[in-house]
Amino acid sequence: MTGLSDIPIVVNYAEDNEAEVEITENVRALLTQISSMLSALINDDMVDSIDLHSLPLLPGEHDAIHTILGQGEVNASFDSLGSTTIYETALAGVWWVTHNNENDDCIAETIEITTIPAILESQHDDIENAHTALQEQLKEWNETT
Amino acid sequence: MSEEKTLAKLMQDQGVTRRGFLKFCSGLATMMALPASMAPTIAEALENAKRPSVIWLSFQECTGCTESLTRSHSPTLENLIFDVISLDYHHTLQAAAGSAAEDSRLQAMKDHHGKYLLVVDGSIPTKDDGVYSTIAGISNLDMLKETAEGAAAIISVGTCAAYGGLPYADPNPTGAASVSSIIRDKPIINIPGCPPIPVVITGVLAHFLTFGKIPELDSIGRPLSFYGDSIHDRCYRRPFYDQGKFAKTFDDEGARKGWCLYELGCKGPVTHNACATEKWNQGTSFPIQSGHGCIGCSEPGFWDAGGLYQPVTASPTNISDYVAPALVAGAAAGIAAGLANRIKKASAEKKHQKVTNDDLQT
Repeated sequence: MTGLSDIPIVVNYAEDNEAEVEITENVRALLTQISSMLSALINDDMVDSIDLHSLPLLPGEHDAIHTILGQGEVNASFDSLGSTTIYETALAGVWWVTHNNENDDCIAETIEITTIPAILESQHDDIENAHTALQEQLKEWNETT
Repeated sequence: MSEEKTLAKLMQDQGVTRRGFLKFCSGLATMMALPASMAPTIAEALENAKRPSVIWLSFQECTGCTESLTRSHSPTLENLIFDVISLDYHHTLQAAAGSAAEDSRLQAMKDHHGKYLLVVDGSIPTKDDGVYSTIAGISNLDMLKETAEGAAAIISVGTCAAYGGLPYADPNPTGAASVSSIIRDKPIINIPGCPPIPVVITGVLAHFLTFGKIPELDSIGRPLSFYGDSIHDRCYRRPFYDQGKFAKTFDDEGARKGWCLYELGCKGPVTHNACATEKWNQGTSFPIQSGHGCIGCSEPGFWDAGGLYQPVTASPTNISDYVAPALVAGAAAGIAAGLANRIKKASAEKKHQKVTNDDLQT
């Protein structure tokens, strides 16, 4: 056995997967905060984020937030020190970011309020390294032809 | 040695891109209970951070604290040792044994005098000149004093090192004492818990690496970012407490409905720790979520504080402070909360604390 996921637990889902999502006070408060952050993004270009890991959510509330925010048009993923998945929720400007480590354990899960999560942008250092590598490759090819 | 390289350079040499480094910093922010928006600040701080040398001493203990550390998943133990710290001495984890092991401790003390971090788990027996626990013929008491002399700071991991723990329990036959009762001239961070949450141990180490200083502490030496609130403050069952819904036995209707365990002896109202948010087993659950009350293991003298299943006799000091807001939680989630949230988040960021739904609802 290598992890919790290997424990043979059978999960019986409710028959009606479209059952209404319960809007608890925690869910309402979180959505209120997202609304407030969106307002700041619109009016002041203020980028912000919520660390889901830090919230004492009731069982089911995480899934409820996930369901309410829904899925938007953009999906992205990259693999560096483990996988990272990023998607824009059905609310434009609200992104769901999940970082996993090399063992595929979640190390950070955030809701980011931004036009695009900064970690998706090409990083200056990486661009410089790529440029250097390309120059060296061209030089090598030029010398051999 | 590799600790001469900065963390950023070390990771670059391992083929980690800048994007990967930023991701690493996002994980660190979560680990250190800092707002996710601080990831770029952490990255900037880590540009010049060098892995600190760490000497870990295990005294009168059960090895549960080290067991907890090995369950760290963010970062993993391997990441911690190879990327975050240079673990130069640890009985259980090091390959060297006997005189070679002791030599490595002395060498690290010499090479990094005044700069190394000393981590201690276990209490220190002081009765009869500390004869009840020795390593390599040296009493724990003498080894602590000798190793603490050149340390930049000391981290007391576990309730035993922090406050005496189980060995300190009445009648304390070995004269067990905490680190802070013996060492008076060094900054000491207490990370109590029996054992402490893995991510809290690694989070404090990461904080020292990132900012080069110890985090803000409460009145008994615990990092506020992890121990600033009681379990009760952060418990997902708190709404039931507010509504007066309590489980009376472990198998009654209230227990099945997940009501508050206060009357079954839960020590959450008087216990400060991060179990309710950080949780255990890779964030899976914590005792209250599993149906058992908190036993208060991160508080001084918890073992002598009465029966585990007796309700705490003293009421939480500020019950009225949070009962009232709970009753109007619906209204608190209104438009006016928006601006308040912003202020509180900024305030928490300044204090390096997390913002929770409790903050948002009040």
